[in-house]
Amino acid sequence: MNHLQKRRSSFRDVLLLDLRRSVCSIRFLVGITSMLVWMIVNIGYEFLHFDNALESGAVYLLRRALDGSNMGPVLLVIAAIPYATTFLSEEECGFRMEMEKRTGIYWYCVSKVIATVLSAFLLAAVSILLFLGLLTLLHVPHVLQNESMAIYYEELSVTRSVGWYYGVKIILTGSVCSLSAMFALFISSCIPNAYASMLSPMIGYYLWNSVLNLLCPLLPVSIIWQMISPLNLFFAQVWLGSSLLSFLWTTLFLTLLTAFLGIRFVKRVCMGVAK
Amino acid sequence: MKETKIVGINFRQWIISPKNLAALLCLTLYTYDQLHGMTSFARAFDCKVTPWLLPFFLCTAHRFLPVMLLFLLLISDAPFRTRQQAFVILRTGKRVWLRGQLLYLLLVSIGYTALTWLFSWLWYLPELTWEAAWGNSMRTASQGIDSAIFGVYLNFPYRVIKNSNPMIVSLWCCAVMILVLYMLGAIMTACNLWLKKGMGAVITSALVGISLIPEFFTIDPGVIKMTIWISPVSWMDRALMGNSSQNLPPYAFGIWMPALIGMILSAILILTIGKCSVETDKE
Repeated sequence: MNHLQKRRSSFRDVLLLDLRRSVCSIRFLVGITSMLVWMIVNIGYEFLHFDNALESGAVYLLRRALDGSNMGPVLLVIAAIPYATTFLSEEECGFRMEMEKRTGIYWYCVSKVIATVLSAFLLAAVSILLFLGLLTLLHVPHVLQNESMAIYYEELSVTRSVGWYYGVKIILTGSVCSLSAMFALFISSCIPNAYASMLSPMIGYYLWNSVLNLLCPLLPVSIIWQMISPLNLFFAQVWLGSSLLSFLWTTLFLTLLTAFLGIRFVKRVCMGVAK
Repeated sequence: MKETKIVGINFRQWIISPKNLAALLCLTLYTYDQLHGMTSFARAFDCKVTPWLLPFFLCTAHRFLPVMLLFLLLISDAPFRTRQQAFVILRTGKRVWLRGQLLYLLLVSIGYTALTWLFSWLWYLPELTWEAAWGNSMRTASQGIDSAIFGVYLNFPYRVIKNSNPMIVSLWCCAVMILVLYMLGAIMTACNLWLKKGMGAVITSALVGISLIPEFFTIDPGVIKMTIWISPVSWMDRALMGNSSQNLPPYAFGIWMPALIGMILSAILILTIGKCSVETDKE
C-alpha cells in the first residue's frame, strides 16, 4: 500500500470516528431535545389551546414551529451544539496533534467539516421527524386544514402530498443548521473561545441583517434583498414565484455558503499549522 | 492599589482580543440598525427626539437579547485565568487578584451600560434635542402608532411614560442594568470557578434567555408570566415591573435583587477563593 492509499484509508477511519462521535453522543441528544423544545415553544399558543392545534393540522403547525418568530435565532445556537466546538476541545487536550500525525492536517480538517455539517443536518432531520411523530401521537391530522393557507411551500401539501412538504422543510432546516454549525466551526478557528464559537451564528445572523438593512437602499431591486435576507432564508421563505425555484435558490445559496466556509476553515487551519 | 493595576491589565488585553473588539463592533452595528429609524419617525411627525429611548429598548426583550449576549461574550472567560494572570496571582495572592477581577467586572458593567445608553441616542443625533420631558416623538409612538414602518421595532408602552419623569426612569433603568450585568458577571465567575469550565456561560445565557418566555406569552400570561421573578433581563423592563396587582415584582425588586445576589456572591467568592483551584488557561 503506497503512502497516498494509506492516507486515504486513515482518512476514512478518521471520518467514521468523527461521524460516530458527533452522532452517538450526549451532545447530539441535548441538541435534539433543545430543538424539540424550541419547536414546541414556537407553537406554544396552539398547545395552550389544543382544540386550535387539532383544527390547524400538522402542516400549519410545522410551519409555525419552524418560523421561529422572535425566538428564531436560538435555532442557530442549537445547531452548533453537537460538534462545532470539538475542534477547540481537541486542540486544548492535544488530541489534534495526535490525529495530525496519523492523517495529516488537511484530511483532519476535511473530516471535521464533513462531520460538523452532517451532524447538524441530521439534528434538524431527526428533530423534525420526532416532532411529527409527537403530533401523530396527539392525533393531529397530517393535512393542511385551511386551504387558503396553501401559499409558498404549503401548496406542495395540496398539489402533491404532505410528504413532499415535510421533505422540503427537512432539507431547508437541515441546510440552515449545517450552515450555522459550519460558521461556528469556522469562528472557532479564528477565536479560540467555545462560547464565542457557539454564539457566533446568532450574532452573525443579527449582523447580516443589520448590514443588509444598511445596504438596502443601495440595492437596485427589492427582490435581491428578499433573496439574501437571512430572515427569509432561515425562517420565513424566499419566494421567487414557484416552489421549485425558491427551494433550489435557498438550498443552493445555503450550500454554497457552507462550502465556502468549509474551504476557508480548512485553508485557515492548514496555513496556521504551516506557519 | 493592586486591584486597579489588575483591572488595567485586563483592559489592556482588549487591544489584542479579537473577541472583545468583534463584540463591540457588533454592538455598534446592531444598535444602529435597531434605532436609527427613529430619525425618519421624528421627521414624519415633525418632532424632535429626546435622549430617553433606553427604557423602551429594555422593554423589547427579543430586541435587547443580542445586547445582553454580547455582554456575556465580553465576560465569558471570567475570572480571566490567562497565563499572564498566573504571574499576577503569584505576586498578589488569590484574594487580591479576585477582588481585582470583580472590580473589573463592575467597571465593564458600568462602561457597557454607558455605551448602550450613548448608542440609544447617538444614532438620531441630527434630530436630537435635550429636554427634561419625554418629547413628542416618544409620546406619539406610545399612542399605538406603528413605528415599525419607519424601521423602529421597539415597544413604546404608555405605562412607562405615564406620570413619570424621563430622567428618573432612565436612571432607574441604567442602575438596574449595571446591577444585573454585574450579577451575571459574578454568577459567570462563580460557575467557572466552582463548576466545570464553560458552565458559567451556559447558566448565564439561560438566565438571559428566560426573558423571551414572558414576552412570547404576553396574551396568555397566567403562571408563565411569573417567570419574570427569575428573569434578570425582565427586571430592567419598566413596563413589566411594578404591577403589584398581578403579583409581579415591584420596582424596588429590580434594584435590590441583583444588588443582593451580586454582593453575596462576591463575598462568598472572596472568602472561598483560597480553596479554589485557579489553573490558568492558554491565551
